[in-house]
Amino acid sequence: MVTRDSAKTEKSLNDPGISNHTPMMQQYLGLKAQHPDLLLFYRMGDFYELFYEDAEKAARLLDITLTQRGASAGAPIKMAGVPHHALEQYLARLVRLGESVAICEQIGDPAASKGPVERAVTRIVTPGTLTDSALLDEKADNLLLALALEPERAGLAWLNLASGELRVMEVAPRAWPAELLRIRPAEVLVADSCAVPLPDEAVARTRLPDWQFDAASARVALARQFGTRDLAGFGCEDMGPAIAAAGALLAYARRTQGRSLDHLTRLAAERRDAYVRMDPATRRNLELTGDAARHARADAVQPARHLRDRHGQPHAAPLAPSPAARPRGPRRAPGGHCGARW
Amino acid sequence: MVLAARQAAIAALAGDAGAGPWRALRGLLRRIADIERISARIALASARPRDLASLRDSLAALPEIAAAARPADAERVAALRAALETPGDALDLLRAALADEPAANVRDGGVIRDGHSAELDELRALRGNAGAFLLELEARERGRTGIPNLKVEYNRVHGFYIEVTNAHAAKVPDDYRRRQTLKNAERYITPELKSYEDKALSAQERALSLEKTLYEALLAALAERVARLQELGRALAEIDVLASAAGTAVERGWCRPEFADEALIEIEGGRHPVVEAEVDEFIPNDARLGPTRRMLLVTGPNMGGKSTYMRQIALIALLAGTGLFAPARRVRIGPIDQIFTRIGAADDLAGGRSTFMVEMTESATILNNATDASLVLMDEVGRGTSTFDGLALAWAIARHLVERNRSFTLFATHYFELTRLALEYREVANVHVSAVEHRDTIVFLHAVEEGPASQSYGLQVAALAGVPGGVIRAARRRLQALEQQSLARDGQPDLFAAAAPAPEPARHPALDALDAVNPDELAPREALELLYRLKKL
Repeated sequence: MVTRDSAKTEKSLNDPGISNHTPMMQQYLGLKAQHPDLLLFYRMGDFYELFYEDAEKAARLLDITLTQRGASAGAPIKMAGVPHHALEQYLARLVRLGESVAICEQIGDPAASKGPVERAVTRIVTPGTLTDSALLDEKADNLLLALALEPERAGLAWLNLASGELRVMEVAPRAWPAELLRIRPAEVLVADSCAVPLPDEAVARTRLPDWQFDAASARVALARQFGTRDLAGFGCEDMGPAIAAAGALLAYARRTQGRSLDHLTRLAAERRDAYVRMDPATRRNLELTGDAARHARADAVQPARHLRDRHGQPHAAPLAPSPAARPRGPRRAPGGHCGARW
Repeated sequence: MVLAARQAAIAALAGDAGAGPWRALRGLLRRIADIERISARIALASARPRDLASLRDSLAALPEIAAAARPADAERVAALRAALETPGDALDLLRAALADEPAANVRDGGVIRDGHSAELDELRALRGNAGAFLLELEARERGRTGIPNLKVEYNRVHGFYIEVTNAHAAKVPDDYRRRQTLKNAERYITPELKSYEDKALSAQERALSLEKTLYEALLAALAERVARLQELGRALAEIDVLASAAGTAVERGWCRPEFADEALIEIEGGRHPVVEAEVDEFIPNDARLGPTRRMLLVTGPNMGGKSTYMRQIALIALLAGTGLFAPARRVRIGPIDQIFTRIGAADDLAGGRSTFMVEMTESATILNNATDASLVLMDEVGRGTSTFDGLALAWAIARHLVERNRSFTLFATHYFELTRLALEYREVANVHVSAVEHRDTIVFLHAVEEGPASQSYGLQVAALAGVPGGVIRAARRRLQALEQQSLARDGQPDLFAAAAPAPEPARHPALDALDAVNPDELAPREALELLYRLKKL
């Protein structure tokens, strides 16, 4: 489980002596305050630099040199950096480790500005919101999932930002871990008050304030996103927590991209009884997903991968696992759903 | 119905005798980029020039794909073909604006095609024509001033200049402005040269910034068509999956499952989809489950293929339930709501659960959730604990599955006591994987036959695995003792009997016969006869 340790950073930011810092560090600390949970990559010429706790963490995770630079507010500044042309590879490593990163670029003209050149966070990279081909596995989906737990129902909403596919589902409270293991998201969004542990420890967890999981405002936001009057056409009228989760998901995804998500044009509701269901143990035992490699013997062959890799085309991959990993039951498939993606 | 439509599409793409369009489609689809992801990047304005180039080439290939799929006569394929209609306006935009082989990054330039923007062409021409212009200017100025060694040159510090040696200083016209004085020459600039300099030096920069603007405009124009591109990407992905499924079916000889309304699973000549590709000769096996035959007790030697047999049934049911073809000669299957398995033993050490705990947790899930439309695979339940615990649990679990869950169950076990369940319940049938004993080793036939296995061949397998001969011999003696003792009790082997302290095993009559013999007194012929006699004992 990757939890973000924001307490320490906030402490240093709340330090009353921010005005004692050099102008550049003041700018840095101002930006950092907006993204306390993320590693902030601060562009300085040909390098992206990290400072203080971020620098220590990045040095540890990326095996880059931790150094010190001058002094600000009377203390030396811990610093670590990566060259700008190598940014993508370092990002890929951090994201695989479940970290999220804010990229801060120089947006002003260095020649024209007095004091530090104007900078802004232009991009946020999190494990579940990758779209860049350099950071994505060509043959696997990268999913962001939001989980809303209520006493009676558990709501799940998940998004493949790289293709614009958004799905929601509601299940009995004890059934959501199995669904999570089926969907295998790269990042899970939960409310601050949510205390339950996630079943898969390798998944990055991001906490959001409780108010972001609000079904009523989510309905409005989603309808606006899809350009519809309400959500009647999407087959999810009876859902509550799942819609709340979708709302939190949408807001988070938008924030990371720093723009509207025009390719998100619809929502699909999944119903458990429309598919042949399998529990996580069965998926593992039948070696249907990549997970089998972790649990099964070294010589085990994975049917799904084996067959899946026969599709030579990159775009088959996002679709190919789905039929096997979540097949549709012979007779129970609702008719109107045919044209949709499997 | 989704599944039937999917099957029909696969069948049509596979064609008669495998001659359908799947092969052509496979080749064509290999050249297609991931349009869904590129569309998303267009919407997020993060698409790279090469994304757009591969999008353009993919769009151009669409008519070919639609044409290749035409012979496949199925409703779903026809619908997908209709969805493949080329978005002409998007393709026109890309063709008009994008260079044939654009650079990787917009900031490097060379992304926008020549002829797309007159302004960009002019800027590029300026850069390209600099040499010619300077030569022409030099010739013109020599003619005008009559200075034969006048030179038009460029350096980084001073930019463009006209150099005149001091010998000709008097001939310099009025419109020359002095720029730099050297020891034996003066360098000048003219208004014409100055304006050229401004243009040339900024041309590169302006060309790059203009390319960026044009590229962004292209992205914005494409962004309005993202919905159509996404639809296209989905259609291509579905065709790809269907064609790949058809290809697999043809190449591996998979069949089209038939759907039944009643609950049943009938498989003739079923194979394991992965193992059949890994081994030279895979022995196909049948499986039959129905309302009156809900549980198969699978016995037979370890290594005999019990696990493969059970898994292949689950995988065939899964493939069929997905609307795909399945590795069998014939499959007939009713509705299946869930598949459960309890296979293998892996300690969940990290989670602090023992093998047995994992086994029982999974079994509990199954007993609590399996329905009469579920398929359940149980592999050697109870082996994680002591023999009697294990046997008792396995027996009770099997009964619960038959009586309460009424699921279709494949129950592999090495407890022969369980085979007696077939006598108690008419829904239970015994099958076994066959093996023949050859001297003291065994040959696995991997064929599944009706009836319980006659013995488990555990010792032979142990020997095969390299367990030392002394251990095997000791085990064999012990086994004999156990069997005789339980036979003596009730005429039937019963592991429960072994609970009693084992008395000395009965002495084998052959040993008595051997004791009575003095080998030194035997003629060769007598020795041979003795051997035959011993063999009969």
